[in-house]
Amino acid sequence: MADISDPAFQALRQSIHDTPSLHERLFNLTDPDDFIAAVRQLASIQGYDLKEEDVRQSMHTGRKAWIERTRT
Amino acid sequence: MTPLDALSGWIPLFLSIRDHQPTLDWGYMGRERFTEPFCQDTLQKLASRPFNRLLRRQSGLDLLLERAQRHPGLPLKGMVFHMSRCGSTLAAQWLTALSDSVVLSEPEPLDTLLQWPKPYSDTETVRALLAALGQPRRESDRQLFLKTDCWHMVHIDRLLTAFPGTPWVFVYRDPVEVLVSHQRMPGWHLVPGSMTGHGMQPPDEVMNHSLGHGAWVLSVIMDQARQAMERHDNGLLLNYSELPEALESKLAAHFGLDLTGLGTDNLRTVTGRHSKQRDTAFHPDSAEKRAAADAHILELTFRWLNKHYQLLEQLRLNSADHNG
Repeated sequence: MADISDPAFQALRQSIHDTPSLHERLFNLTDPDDFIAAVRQLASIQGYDLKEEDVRQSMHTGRKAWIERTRT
Repeated sequence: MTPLDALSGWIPLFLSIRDHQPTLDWGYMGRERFTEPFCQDTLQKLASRPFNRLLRRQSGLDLLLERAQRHPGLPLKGMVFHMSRCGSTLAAQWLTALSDSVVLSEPEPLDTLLQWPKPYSDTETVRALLAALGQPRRESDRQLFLKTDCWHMVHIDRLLTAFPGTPWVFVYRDPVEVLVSHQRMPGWHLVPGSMTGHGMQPPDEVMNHSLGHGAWVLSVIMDQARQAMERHDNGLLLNYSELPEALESKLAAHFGLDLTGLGTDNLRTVTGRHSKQRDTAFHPDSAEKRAAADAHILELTFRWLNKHYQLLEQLRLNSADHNG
């Protein structure tokens, strides 16, 4: 879904998807700044320097896809 | 609750066609519940969460089908069909107030699926979609109810094939009052041509006329309801004029609800307020709406709706005599 095509980011997404205990914790971060910080921290643990602007851009893309979804 | 796995707490947010393939976007819902008047309000909130902006999952329908095998969801105990602006949302909110029920009110993913051709929208996929949306969200959840979009009355055969024997109700109202409501705040089905995805091809005379188109769609819905009552068992006709009392009596009996110990005071709090503007008190407004009907609405009602309404009323009253 995200437009960050970096394999390291894809690996991070996959590892989050595969870890149910993270879903609730990250989902409950309703403030975008807190959420982005948490995701970047998880990336850092995996040795991946995830840029804040890239996360924001990807979140924007995800939001746009929701808004532009078609009913058919 | 289902055992924790990688998709625990995830639900289908929306369906779309990408690269000519049916695609499902899953979003995390966690412990949130469908408590808004419409599913879409809840889905909108979920989609706005940072997590679901960045980390939605995409899959084909295969994952939906596969997951339904292991997580079949709550049993569907009742379906609410309706003609719009007739008290059906009040009925859905009343069901939502039950301590053991999940209510899916006009879920958009189902609307999308029902417009897709087979095999994408076959019976098994419809069941699998409701299984994914209708997972228990509290320890006490035991049963699922579906309130469809009003135009889904034309899909009742498909839905009853997917969920055979499920009790269903058709909520309706004096069509003059319904049209007055749509004149003030038009529904989606007033957009000419908006129902073609559901197999409804409007006659030319309403193609440039939104209220006329709406009246024609309502005529199709009411006619389908009458035919469904003759074709299927387990149907109940409920007129707006019987609300809210009939929820606790007729609807509860029809859906097999045991209200003892469920707190009828709490349920009556729901029926005492407006279903879509929950800070506002609910009060029947038939007289006000009938008084507001102009000549155009009366003409449209005569042209498209009176006959169907009278036939439904005959069926309802005959049934009451028969049971009474």
